[in-house]
Amino acid sequence: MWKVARRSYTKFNPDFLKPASDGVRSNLKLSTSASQDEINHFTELAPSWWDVWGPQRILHKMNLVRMDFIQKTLRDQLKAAPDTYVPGFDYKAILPPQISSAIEEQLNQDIRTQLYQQQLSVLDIGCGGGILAESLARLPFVAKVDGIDLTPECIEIARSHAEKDPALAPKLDYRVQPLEEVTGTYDLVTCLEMLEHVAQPSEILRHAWSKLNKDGILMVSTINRDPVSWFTTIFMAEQVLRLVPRGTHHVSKYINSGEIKQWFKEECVGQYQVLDCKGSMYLPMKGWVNHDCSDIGNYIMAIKKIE
Amino acid sequence: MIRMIIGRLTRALSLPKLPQRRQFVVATALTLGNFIFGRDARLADAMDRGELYNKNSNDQKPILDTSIADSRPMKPNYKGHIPLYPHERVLLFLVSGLKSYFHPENGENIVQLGEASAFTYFLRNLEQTMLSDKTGRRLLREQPDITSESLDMDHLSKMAPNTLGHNYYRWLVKEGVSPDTRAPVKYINDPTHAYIFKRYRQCHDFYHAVNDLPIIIEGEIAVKALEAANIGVPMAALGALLAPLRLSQVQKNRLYDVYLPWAVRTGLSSKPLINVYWEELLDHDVDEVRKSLNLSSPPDLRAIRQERARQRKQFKLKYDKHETNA
Amino acid sequence: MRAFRLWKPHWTLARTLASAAKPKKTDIFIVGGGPAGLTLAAAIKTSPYLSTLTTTLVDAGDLKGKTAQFYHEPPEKFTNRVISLTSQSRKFLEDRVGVELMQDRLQAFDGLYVSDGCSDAGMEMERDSMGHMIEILNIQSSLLHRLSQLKASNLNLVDQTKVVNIEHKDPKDPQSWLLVTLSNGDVFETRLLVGCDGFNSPVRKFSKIESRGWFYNRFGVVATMKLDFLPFKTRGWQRFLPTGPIAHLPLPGDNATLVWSTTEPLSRLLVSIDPEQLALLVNAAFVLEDVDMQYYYKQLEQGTITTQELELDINHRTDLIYGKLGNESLIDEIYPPLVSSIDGTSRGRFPLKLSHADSYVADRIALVGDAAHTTHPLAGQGLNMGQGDVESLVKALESASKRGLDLGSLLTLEPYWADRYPYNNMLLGVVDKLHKLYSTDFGPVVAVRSMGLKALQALGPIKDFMMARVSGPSQ
Repeated sequence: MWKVARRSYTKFNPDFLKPASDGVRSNLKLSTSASQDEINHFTELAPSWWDVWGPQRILHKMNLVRMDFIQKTLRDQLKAAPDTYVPGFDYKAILPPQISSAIEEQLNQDIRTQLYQQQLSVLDIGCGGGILAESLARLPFVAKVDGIDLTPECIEIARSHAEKDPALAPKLDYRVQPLEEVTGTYDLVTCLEMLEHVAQPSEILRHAWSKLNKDGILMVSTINRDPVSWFTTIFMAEQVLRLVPRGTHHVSKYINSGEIKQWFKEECVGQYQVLDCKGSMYLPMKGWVNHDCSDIGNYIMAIKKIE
Repeated sequence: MIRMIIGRLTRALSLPKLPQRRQFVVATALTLGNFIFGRDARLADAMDRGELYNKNSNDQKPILDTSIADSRPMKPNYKGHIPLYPHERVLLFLVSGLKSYFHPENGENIVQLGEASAFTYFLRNLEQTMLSDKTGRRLLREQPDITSESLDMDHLSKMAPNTLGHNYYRWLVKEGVSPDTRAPVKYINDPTHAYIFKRYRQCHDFYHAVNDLPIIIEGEIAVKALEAANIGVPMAALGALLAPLRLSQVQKNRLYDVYLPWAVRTGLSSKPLINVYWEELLDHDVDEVRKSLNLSSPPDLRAIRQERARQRKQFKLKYDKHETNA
Repeated sequence: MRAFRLWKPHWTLARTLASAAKPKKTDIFIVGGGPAGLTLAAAIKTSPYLSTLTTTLVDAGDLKGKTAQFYHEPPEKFTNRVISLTSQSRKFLEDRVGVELMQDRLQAFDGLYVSDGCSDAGMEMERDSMGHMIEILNIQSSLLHRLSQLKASNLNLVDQTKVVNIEHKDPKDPQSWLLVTLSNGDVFETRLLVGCDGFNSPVRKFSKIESRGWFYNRFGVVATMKLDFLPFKTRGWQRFLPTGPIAHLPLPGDNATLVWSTTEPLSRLLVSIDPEQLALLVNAAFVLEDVDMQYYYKQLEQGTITTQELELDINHRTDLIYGKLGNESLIDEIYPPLVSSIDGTSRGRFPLKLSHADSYVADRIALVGDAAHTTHPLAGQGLNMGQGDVESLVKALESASKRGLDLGSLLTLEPYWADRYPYNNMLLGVVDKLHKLYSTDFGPVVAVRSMGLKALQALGPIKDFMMARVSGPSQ
């Protein structure tokens, strides 16, 4: 076990950076799809997907910090309106608390107004039971969310769960569809906790990138291939604490954050800007927290298409 | 703790085989008491100030008390109050206890012991008993004083013979005492407590009178036991427990077989006697008063004594006859 | 099985009746228009993240009429339901919810003098704006005023109406929305149902959340009092009698309010005797000893004492105890201002109990305030705990709304209960222990607790820390 784990995380993932071979590319069905094993695994999980105390609890909890990250990234893209006063100094440290909090509240208000005026279209790749897709659809500045997945049972669950909330119906569309068959482009493409479950992650990245509008943002999250990840996500989470269903993860499929950046450097020269990259870790008693060390364990990255 | 010490002392003192030791301990205690009270020194001081010339006849006590009271940093809480330091209170208790044991005939010793043993806890209990009762509260509010003047002895003597007043009067005359012979309270700090203790002392004669018990030692012990059981005065309990040590075997038997059972039973079953406004009951029938307070009649002490004397006489006669016959 | 068959027709009937009226959809349905429910509604409508949510509040009382009227035409006399609002609660109401309380009916107090009814131990807790005495109607009507000011279009205030039925839309799915049927025939379909419906909460009963606790076998007696003269220090007074604590708390001017916790028979006595006698008893309770009080209770119960006799006796005993103080200026320091009269009609009594729900949340359900916990009034924390609940719940809803969560899901609600349960449990426990500690006159216990109180009085920092726990951090 240990041997396998060690080999897989030290080994440079040959499939990843290598441009997909012609053979693979010709077979569209396979290029961006998860393996049949993965599909079977998620079929089993489907019924308990929305039980927040069930096997997917840790994913539900993780979704909270993912949403915080997406929210913050989108807000950071906005500048305060010209008529809003923005102090050119560290006002929180200098001004009395009442004044600085009033300034902050006004800035927040201003950004919020701008944000809420937007109506974003979102593509959620590998939406599973729709945990992220539903959350995104409820945001007032999101106009529509398309969720795609290759596991029909998951899409079924996602659809029937969304039906329970009348507010979601007009905004959400779930489809069993491979990524490359998706037509149209989006302001926001999310590909969270999904790359580690597919055979050809680079293909996913390539297609996801192509679905982005100009100034659109791609959100990618997966797991670094290192001993810490093996220890936390497989040994502790799956085997000891059983927080995650066994067989969810395979350390060989993990992708380092550096590898993703490298891929963009090589494939999308001058077209992209990494907006933010944060590590995430699970603290017992507290839940998930984001941290700045993005090359250990789980991480999430936001990349903006600037051309 | 204190009781233990006393117990040990009394045991040590009453060992007949060690008369020297007994004398030694007694002498030491008395000297010590005298020394610490500094009576001689104070007398000398008083003499120096020329106060001793104003003394009334042969009683030096009042002058001594005044000088003690004056030497205190604490102000007296009421007229005649002598504030004591805690260690003095302990000494007063020990010394008066020893003195009472050896000289019970000196009333002053008993009085001092009574006050020294009237711990605040017991006085508070007594106060609570009075505060829980309508008459008790009125007594505390009005604070009546029982004196020959306030009772009007002439008036009492002219009352009907079945009244409490007349019974009381008869008892005073028979025993040759007066309500005024009660010593004033000096050492209790709280004025209310001082009054309660004074009231307790003043009512003592009424307990004798209403039960028709003489002031001979067995009668006294019986009343003490009654008070202890009824009111919870520690001095009364102490008296009832320790005084019999000095009685003869016959007296003891009589006490344990007859008086104590009666006193304890009556004390526990009757109403709190401290809450009785005796002055207002003077013209009531004594049997009715006894009944209303739930007091049962005591065995007649004098009658029993006479009976016993008669028995002894008979026995002696028999014995003499037997002797002569033999 | 048989029971099931019998039930079924009834069940389907209810279903058809319910579906006859088309359910109105609402995001948040609040049951109960007490301070907690109204604060929640106003906080939601004030929050930039929640104000767009459709909110419905239902209450059995006459909220729009009588309660709202209080704000515009307040009665001259003070009403008897008065509570102490901590600075923290007031800050939340005024700064976050934007409520303008009726300032002229609000009394700030700077301290509380706590004493032991079985000994001379006392402790003075003093700090600026420790809290505010305020009528519950003042809070309620100010909140209603705030709601009317907001003119929120998606707020539905239904008063003089009761909830008659609650059920899941899909009885087999506990995560499905809830159908709430009202006594006026309306049916609401709600994402989140919040029970602010008090101790006997129907919402809690529906949620099957267990509530544990007990009755104290004590009753609280409240009344509005007039003082002899204006108090020279506006502070509260509390004395722990063996029968329960009595509190004398300031209201504006020469008014004060009484909260007297006592045994059931005595509470009946206190509300039935002549108001003049009650005023005398209140004065006596803060100065005299337990034995005096027991004597007065007995005499009053037997009817063997007249008001004049009572007054005479109390005055005599009071003078005696004042006399023992040695320093006359101490009288104003350790005894509350004398009560001159009590409004007999303002008297009321209610049973005291402790209860705490095992959880405050279930799928689509949250419990707030008395529905989740009730406490002994001796620390004046009941309403403030409810305000704290609302603050925490609104925070949880805001954060969930930012994250796009379903507001009725456990993921949304769990942080609320995780935040409040330990704190409330601590307060309930402390208050319960205090009640037990002081409901005895057993000598050694009295000695130890008096020593503790005196020690606390001497140890400033610890006292400050405890006050901060109860009334919020110092300003």
